[in-house]
Amino acid sequence: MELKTPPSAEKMGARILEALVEFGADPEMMSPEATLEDLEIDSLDMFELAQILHQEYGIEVNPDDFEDVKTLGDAQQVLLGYLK
Amino acid sequence: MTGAGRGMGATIAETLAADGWRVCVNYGTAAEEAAAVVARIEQRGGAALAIEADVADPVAVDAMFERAEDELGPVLVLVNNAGVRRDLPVGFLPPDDWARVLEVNLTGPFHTIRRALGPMIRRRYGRIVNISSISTGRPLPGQSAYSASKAGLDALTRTVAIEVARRGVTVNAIAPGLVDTGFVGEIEEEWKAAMPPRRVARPEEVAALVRYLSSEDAAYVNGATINIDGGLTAGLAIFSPRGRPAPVGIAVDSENEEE
Repeated sequence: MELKTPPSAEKMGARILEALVEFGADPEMMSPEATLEDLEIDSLDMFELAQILHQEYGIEVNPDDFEDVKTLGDAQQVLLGYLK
Repeated sequence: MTGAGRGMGATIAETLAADGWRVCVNYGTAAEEAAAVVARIEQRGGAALAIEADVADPVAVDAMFERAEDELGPVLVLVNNAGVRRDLPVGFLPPDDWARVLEVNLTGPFHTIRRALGPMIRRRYGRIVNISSISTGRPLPGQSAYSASKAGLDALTRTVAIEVARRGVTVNAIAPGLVDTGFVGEIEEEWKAAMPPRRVARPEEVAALVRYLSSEDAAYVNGATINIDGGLTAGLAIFSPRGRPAPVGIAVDSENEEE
């Protein structure tokens, strides 16, 4: 995986939250335990998030990695894992 | 604009260019014709770029988009027109020919749509127009591969349309009947006579529909397959033994004629 500009975990985590709010998620409901369903984040949103991470950081998101993702915390764990 | 080197694709490319779109004139083999399309667009003050790419090859499709984005700007309209035919009775149709028709006519648009969608979604604007065919519902004998590929394209159109609608991207298909291009060979007078308007479509008439579907005005037209066939598929086509449509109310099967 080639990174354009490797971001810090904090920076990328913040960018993920910012994108989810842009997609319509309620900022007050954001917590690691919140499910993506509760946040009304669906597969199209995750696709766009993958586009953002690719465009800005060169990260290639593999949709198979999200098979067991239910909560925002799960999603962040997978996404931040790409930095390792 | 895939398959824009000749025929209807060339006309569509020139029509979009006349509207101010900067057009990527994709071609598979028609290099000279594609260069001529670009030259005609530039002569009229438009901007265009001919790029060779086999739409069945995702690597080539990606490279085409990269170059188009670099030299022309973001791809906000995608017209999938590239298509091939191999008309044979299914028992004679080699599996490789079947596969090639499906690869170009159906998998090709999958590759281009897949590549185009991300940037369109990010910009909250996109127009995808797939050139289908009336043969999906009313095929001629020998068109198994072609009609199956276009039926698949219609299904792809509808599926992607509902996936991305809320990001300002529309996906529609146009199903022309007979069009006066080189694609179906020289059109016989009897065929023209069988069309309700007694003529086939002009490429400009199809291009006008692409122009509309590519516009802001068509924002609420989504997931549609629009026939442009002069009414050919609107009714039941009845052909007399001479190949002409029967006059209304007159039976053409002599065995059913009443004394």
